[in-house]
Amino acid sequence: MQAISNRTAITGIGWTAFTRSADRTVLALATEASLNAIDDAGLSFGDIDGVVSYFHNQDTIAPRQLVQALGLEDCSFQVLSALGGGWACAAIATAAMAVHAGLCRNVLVFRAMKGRSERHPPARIAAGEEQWSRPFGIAHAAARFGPHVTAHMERFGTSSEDFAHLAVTQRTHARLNRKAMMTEPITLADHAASPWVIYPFRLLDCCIRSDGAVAVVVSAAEQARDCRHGPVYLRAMMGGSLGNQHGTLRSDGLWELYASRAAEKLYAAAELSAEDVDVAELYDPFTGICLMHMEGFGLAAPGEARLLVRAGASGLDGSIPVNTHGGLLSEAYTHGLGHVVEAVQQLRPGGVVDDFCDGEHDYDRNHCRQVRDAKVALVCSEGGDSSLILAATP
Amino acid sequence: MMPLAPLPVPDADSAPFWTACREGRLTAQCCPECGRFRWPPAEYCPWCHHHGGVWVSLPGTGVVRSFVVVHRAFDPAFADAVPYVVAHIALDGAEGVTQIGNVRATAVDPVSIGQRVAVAFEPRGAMAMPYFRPVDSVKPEESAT
Repeated sequence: MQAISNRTAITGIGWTAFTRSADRTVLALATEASLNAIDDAGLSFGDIDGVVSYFHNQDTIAPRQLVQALGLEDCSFQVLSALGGGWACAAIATAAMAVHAGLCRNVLVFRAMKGRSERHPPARIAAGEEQWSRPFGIAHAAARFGPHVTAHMERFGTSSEDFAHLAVTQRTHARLNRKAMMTEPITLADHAASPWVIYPFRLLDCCIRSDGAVAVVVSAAEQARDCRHGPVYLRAMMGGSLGNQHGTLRSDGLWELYASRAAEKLYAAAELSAEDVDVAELYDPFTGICLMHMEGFGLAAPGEARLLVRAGASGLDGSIPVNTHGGLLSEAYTHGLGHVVEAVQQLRPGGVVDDFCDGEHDYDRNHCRQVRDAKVALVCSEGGDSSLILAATP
Repeated sequence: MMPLAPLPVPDADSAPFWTACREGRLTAQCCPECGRFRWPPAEYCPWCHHHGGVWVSLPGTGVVRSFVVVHRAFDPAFADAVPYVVAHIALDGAEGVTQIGNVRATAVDPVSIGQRVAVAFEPRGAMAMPYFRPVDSVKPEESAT
């Protein structure tokens, strides 16, 4: 166990509508999601005394701006990380550590952006580590992550059709999610007909872009028992990386991500194994990367996630439901914090609140996206660079 | 008007690499202490932490470890170049070094993992940019015997 295991919990979750073009500022989006999360926790804004966020490409506001917007009078700790999609779970871990260390009582974690409507043109010069990528025409994450997937295909025989099964499955999940942006059903044929964006990814292999915000409240477990919807405990957390795999220090194959190294430590810290995971919310910027996350975290043997997905195991009633909200592929581009929100929804006593159930969850997949008896959730961020084990009970 | 493709900004670590490109040489940095290559270039060896490195001229050949094919240019400077290949290339003569580079493949000679490639250079502004072309799969040292 980690010293922090089960000592902190997620008590509140909130979000805005996810749209293609929000006619409001990033600050307004962040404020709405935060107020929703604070209310969801049954707290008032005065209970928040820490703020954590993260970004990529200068697309966000700083925590101090949110502190001002919420009128917080006492804020003891703020962090803003530039580490992007790999840092979502680390953001939660950072908040939890601030609470566990006694700096804060309740820390707000948010991710807000206008990722669809406000995209900046690429710069004409490339300095620092970017001199080894952008001058060669790498201007999109698909070109950074694609080589890992191409190598996986070569090694294991993974195919574009395998990716299609994952995309179709996640879309069926998104159809049961009121906040999902992409809810039109898709077929394997639709996937095969969708244009190449960056091989090995077709359009339907790529995450969507969106404007919106997500927020989460992290509190001390002993103060969290009476929170409005019940706490979800943070059992284990990891956040690290060995850097880019085109450097000389990485001797393992391109077909592996950092996830495979993080997983062992994460499960040991949780005193659990992959078999104990009831639901997995895994960063899915591209279909093939999500398959690699499944394998990295031991939900499937190397090269075999595709077989599980083809057999329906990653569906809501499968042996290991994956991205039950539709993920970045079909819900919205929340940079990984939406995966945390979904895990919390699946584990809380009342369960998912934004499917189409009218009253109790009945597991009818025409309107219900609640997974049966979910007690333990795995969440991972990009590459497995950060990850969490969440649990319904301590 | 189409913008110029992004220019790399040489820094204290990378300047020798880009200077060598202008001279038509592909290079990598090597540790004079432990003899291991390092990439990307850095002042300290990540293996033995020796301070300083030497630059070695490479034969300019290598093998494609993996690749993507960009069909949609997200940087408008590359709009006329699509589809183009971005590859991870393991370089001959610099064990462990994998550089990112463009491979100019053709329909007759499409890129694949394991494909052998050789470097060439072309001007971009005041810089010279390396790119790679597929070559026969027989290594030069093998064909020489």
